[in-house]
Amino acid sequence: MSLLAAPPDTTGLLPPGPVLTVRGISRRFGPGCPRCAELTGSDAGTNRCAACGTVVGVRRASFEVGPGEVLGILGESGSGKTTLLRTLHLDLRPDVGSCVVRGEGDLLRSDRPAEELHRSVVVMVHQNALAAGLHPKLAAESNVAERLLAVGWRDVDAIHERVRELLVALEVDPARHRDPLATFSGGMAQRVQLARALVEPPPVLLLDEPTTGLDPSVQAGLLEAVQRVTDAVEGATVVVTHDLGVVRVLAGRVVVMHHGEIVEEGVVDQILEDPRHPYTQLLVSSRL
Amino acid sequence: MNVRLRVDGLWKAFGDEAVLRSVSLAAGPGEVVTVTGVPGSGRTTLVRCLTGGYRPDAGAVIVDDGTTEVDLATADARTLAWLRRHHIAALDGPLAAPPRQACAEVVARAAGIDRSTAVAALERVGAGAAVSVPVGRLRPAAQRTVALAAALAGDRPLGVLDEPTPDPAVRAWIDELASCGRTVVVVDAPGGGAAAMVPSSVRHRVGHLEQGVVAWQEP
Repeated sequence: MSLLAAPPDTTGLLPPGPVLTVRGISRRFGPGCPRCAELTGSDAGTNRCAACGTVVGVRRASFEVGPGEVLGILGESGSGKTTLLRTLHLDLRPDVGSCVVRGEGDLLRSDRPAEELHRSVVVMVHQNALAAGLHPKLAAESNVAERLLAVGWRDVDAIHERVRELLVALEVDPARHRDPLATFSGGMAQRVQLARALVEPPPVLLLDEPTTGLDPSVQAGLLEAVQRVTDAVEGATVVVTHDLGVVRVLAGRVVVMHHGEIVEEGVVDQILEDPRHPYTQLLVSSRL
Repeated sequence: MNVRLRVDGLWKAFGDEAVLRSVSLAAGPGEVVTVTGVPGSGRTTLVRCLTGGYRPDAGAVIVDDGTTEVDLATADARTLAWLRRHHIAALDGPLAAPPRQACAEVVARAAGIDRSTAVAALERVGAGAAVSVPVGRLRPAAQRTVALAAALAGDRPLGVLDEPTPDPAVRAWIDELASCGRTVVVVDAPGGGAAAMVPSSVRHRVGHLEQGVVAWQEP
């Protein structure tokens, strides 16, 4: 089975319209006060307001992601990248801001149930597969099949065949398809989670530190699997990571977050080789 | 599709040190423009400014397909990422790829071509032995050759190459691309590029980069 989508028209010099448009998303934790704006952010050097104790998780984040494009969100722990991702995944309601997918209304204020949106519009691959709603006691293939059932597949043979295809494409050993997920290593469980995300490649795919917490050799193998998944997605992919190597391999473009603010945006090489913002320069120079 | 590249007054500094001071250059379809320079003269900086990898401080780097003009110096990041993926073939170092990926897959993905075309490209640049080897296992020089195969294969209309291997087969391929209507800029060591060039019917222009400025040879 080929996971590659049909090639889009790429002849023009200008990119096609965005699939994902994020405008001015802000999310604070705490009551907020009139001084928060001046006392938090990259320039203030903190995301915690000294006057009222409010933590400004994300401040006025805006970006667009085109079809087939992978945007990296780079930043250290506490920079707000996970808060932003949880907002886009509808786990957190932003104070202000909007998120439009394929021009169809604001996702963040959609009246469709989040469960349905998580199946068909915005799919997240979590850092920890077992914390992501996968069932440790069920077989790997059942975990993937569950997703197919959720999107309406009913023919048992077809489900079986499709599950096998997806797991094989992500290099899960067929001898282990029926083993309970709890017996899988972190890297293998992550492959099962990726297979679930591919059941119906969504318009928006969110990846939260997809290779973090695994040892380097497993990470290197998994990176190829993640790349295969992002290649298969014709929609917008957003990958959050603090790992400069991962962002270089997976993303074409990067936004850098610092104390809740996007401080720089650029093509990966611009960010890694020619950073402008002092924080990005510091981040890039910390590369091992 | 063909594109024309027009560079005007390109200026790029790192801190207080200006590496490029008003570089101008023009290259059109069917043309190979070679810029030579000694190491440290700003060759790689020039390649990266021409491919959207560095942000110039001043000047224009215009890519024009006859209907649309994009200035890489001022374009937004999404447009740059699009051009770098679909229109510009750059050789400026090893490719970013998962280290376990076999070279043929790395080339196929980077150039947007199928595997058999990628294998042929690797063979043509003399890296046929690396086809199934994980790219992370190669030495940096060999990884560069893999990147060269990816830059020459595929059908992106603008190629910008930093020190391609001085191999007659590679030079012949570059000329062949130009004769098919591609626009090619080669940046090379003095003597390296121009001297190794095979005679051909393709239009060549040569300039020399020194102290941040390109002096063009009379045709």
